[in-house]
Amino acid sequence: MNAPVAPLLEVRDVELRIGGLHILRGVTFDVRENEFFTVIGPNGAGKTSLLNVLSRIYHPTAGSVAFDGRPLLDVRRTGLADLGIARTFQNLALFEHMDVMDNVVLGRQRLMRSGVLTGAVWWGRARREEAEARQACEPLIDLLGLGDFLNRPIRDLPYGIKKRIELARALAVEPRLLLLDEPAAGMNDEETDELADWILTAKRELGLTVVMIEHDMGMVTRLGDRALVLDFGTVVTIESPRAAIADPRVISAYLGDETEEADDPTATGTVALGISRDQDRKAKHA
Amino acid sequence: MTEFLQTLTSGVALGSLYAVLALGFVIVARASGILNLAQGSFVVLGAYLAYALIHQAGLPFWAGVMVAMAAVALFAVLLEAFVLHRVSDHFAALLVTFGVTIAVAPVITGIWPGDSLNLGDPWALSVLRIGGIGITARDATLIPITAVLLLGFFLFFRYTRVGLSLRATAIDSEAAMAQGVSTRFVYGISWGIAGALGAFGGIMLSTTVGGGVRPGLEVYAFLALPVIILGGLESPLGAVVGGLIIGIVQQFAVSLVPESWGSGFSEVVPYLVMLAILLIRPAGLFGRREVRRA
Amino acid sequence: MTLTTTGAALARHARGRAPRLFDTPLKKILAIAFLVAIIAIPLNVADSYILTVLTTAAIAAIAATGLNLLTGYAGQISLGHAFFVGAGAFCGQVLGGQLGLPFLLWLPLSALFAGALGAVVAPFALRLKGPYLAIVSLGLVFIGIYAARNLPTLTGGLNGTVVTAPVSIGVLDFAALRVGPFLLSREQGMFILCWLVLAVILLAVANIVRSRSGRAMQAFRDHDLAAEVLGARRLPTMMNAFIVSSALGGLSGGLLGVELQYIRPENFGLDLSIQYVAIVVIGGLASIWGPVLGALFIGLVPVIAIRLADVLPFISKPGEQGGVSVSGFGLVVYGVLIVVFLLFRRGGLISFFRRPGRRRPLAPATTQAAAAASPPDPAPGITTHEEGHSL
Repeated sequence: MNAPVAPLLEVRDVELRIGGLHILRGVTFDVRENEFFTVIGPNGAGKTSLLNVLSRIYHPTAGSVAFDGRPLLDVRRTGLADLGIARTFQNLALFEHMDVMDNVVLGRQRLMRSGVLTGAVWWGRARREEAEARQACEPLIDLLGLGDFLNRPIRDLPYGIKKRIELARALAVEPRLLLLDEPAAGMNDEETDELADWILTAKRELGLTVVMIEHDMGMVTRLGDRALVLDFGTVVTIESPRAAIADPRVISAYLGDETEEADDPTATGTVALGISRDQDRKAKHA
Repeated sequence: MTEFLQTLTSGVALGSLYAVLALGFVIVARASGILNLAQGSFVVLGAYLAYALIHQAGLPFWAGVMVAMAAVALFAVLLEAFVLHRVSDHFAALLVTFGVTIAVAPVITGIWPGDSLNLGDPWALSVLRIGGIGITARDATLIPITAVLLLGFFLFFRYTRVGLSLRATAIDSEAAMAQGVSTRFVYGISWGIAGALGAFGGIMLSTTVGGGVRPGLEVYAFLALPVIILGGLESPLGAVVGGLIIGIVQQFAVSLVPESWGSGFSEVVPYLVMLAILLIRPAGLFGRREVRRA
Repeated sequence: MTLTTTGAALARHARGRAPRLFDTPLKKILAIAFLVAIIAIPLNVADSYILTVLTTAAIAAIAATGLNLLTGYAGQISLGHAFFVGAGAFCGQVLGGQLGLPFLLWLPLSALFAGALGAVVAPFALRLKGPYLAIVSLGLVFIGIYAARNLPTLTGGLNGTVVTAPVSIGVLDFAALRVGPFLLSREQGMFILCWLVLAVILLAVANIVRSRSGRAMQAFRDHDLAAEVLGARRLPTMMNAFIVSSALGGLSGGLLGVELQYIRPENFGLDLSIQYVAIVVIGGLASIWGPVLGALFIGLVPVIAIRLADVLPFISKPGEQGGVSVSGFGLVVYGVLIVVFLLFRRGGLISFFRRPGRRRPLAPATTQAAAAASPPDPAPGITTHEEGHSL
């Protein structure tokens, strides 16, 4: 590195306790601008909770988070989009009773201004804004192959399509930081590869910084610059994805205390950790 | 001084009634997570069934009360099992329970028409005098009964297996199921208790001093809703304390307010108190703000 | 940029435009037919009873459209809509009847008055989630009746008041409309007036729904957490819905007052609120025409009930003892239908008219908890429950 550039995201000593549970303990890391930062770890490690802290859904018990040099914990949840932070959700958070276009256009919410009265009158600002918003969403709809589904009711759509819609919606925010929570969950190999392509393209076109939680090690190794390994709310290590999945500490975190033979770490999928892809997917759908 | 105590006593009696009515809402809210507006129908059914059993079938008063409470409890259980069970979200559940009360009330008052039917309660209009304070015989029985009921609830929730199952399910139904608690059983018990409570409230409301068995009883159930605003939707203690507070405030307000404030002021007081609470402390006394984290 | 499929490329042109209300020829025809019918029906139907029923339905539809915005689109249940309707009705008489303001002033001002009341109440009711608005709105109805009974100078007190507010716009007096050589009856004029107002309101609400503010309302209904993360703010969005809903209630009330010509506080009680809820649920939540369909349907119930009273023994006529009264019968029907539709046909009556495959409004949804951002979370119970204390 030449001149030190301040990281886009600085997380320092974040503690999160909810009820009687100590979910995050002393989590500290940086994310550099334009980095593809991945977060991995066994179920229950606190990965989603970490993302919830970053997206202001949980307020940490202690610690600090700075985004672009300014304290994030002072910002309200509704201010995230303006700052340029967008996210997807592990269990999907689509607006199920609206159609695909409305869902994606909602990503433009912060950029639109018309109120209820202008909306009622329609002719003028409201109409113009709608046309502009739809035009802005067009490239995203194309990018994610959603064009064929525009007028279908969302509830009937396959899970994979729904995940894409949510991604399109997050991208419509025109964020600087994109938080993804297991975007490939429930997808087969083909869909996962496509998804990875799309995420990379979006990252390149929009100049994004990405923080992604994933279980799919193929995706993590393919896309990630670095991987943060979380276990029981603590950071086990932050290193390159390939190093991480071969790291004995990481393996034992996934498998408990049993030391198992690790397969070729460069193989795709979670085989490297001794968990077959099929088993993993089956476990998720159980 | 006696006037003060007099008003206080009648306030406590009224508050006990509110507490009983509000508890019905709270029990279902803790179990099913919904505001059960069908509670109004439980009140109506309890009063009219008791009337039918006592007046028409000739059962002794307390037997009639017990049977009516059991019957309404059964109705509540069936309602949950066959109707509410099919409803997947809170929004629809609230409207469905509202629909139940709307439909049930006119049918019941159609079957037993009349502006004020005589329930045949043993207290009639008799008034006891204790140290210069007049208290209706009904209230004199109601207050201790309510206290016993509440104590029973406390013990039930704390110390019995069933009670613990109810609490566990309210906190985390999946974990409770993993521990072998049957949620169906929990819902059934909760609704049954709510039905019995509603019936009891309805019967107390339609004693002779209450005004007889009459149309419009379901509105009294709704009158207990401000108690929930005050005490929180899922707090039994809040229901009791809130009920007492509103009952006492209502009686004092009525006694202090000049005639010119007109008829119907008394029935509006709980809602005015509710608005005041919302202004000052929206979470009520016992409900905590929804744990909305950030 | 990834290459698009041809289909997508062709659809692109349409996508860049704002959504249009009447996008198919069928819709355009229906809209024109609707407008034509507003004039044609009263001119060809002389029966004042039928016209009155239909006019009342239009007035109810205006109020129901407001309630639908709040309940169907924004997902907030209000049981107190009658309060705002009553506020508009009595305000209308005070401004139009007592003060003699012209129609084009007293009606909008009554609507604004109701909207202002909504603006005052909303922040408190909407502060908490859950059924709190339902409870508070219920209280409003009772408080409203009490207030109306005890302000005789404004409302005529217990006995109510005659409504003398004018319904003329310039030379057009809808109570005595002159079309060429013909003098229309009051019923005919009122029909045209109310249905025209309804048409305008439907257009306005349809616009709100397809624009930013309406979309935000629906977002909060469907997933409030995601809506916030996207930058929508809950309180302003809900306030908008509540205020517009209240204002439309007031507008409807003003017209209702003129239609009934005599209003009493009792007219605006829980029974009226129940009617509006029934209209919205039965007609079709979150649809523009649903409230109209629902209002027509609900408007027919008393008519049918009176006919049925002759045939069925358990329905009693006014004055008779025993059996369900005509109004009671109506309530039973409303209650049963609310339950039936919510259990089996969430889309309401309007869903029978939608082609399969088109967007279906509000079919049973999984609870928000299932789709919430928290989980497999080691703290599963902390979603949207209030933590109460046990005894």
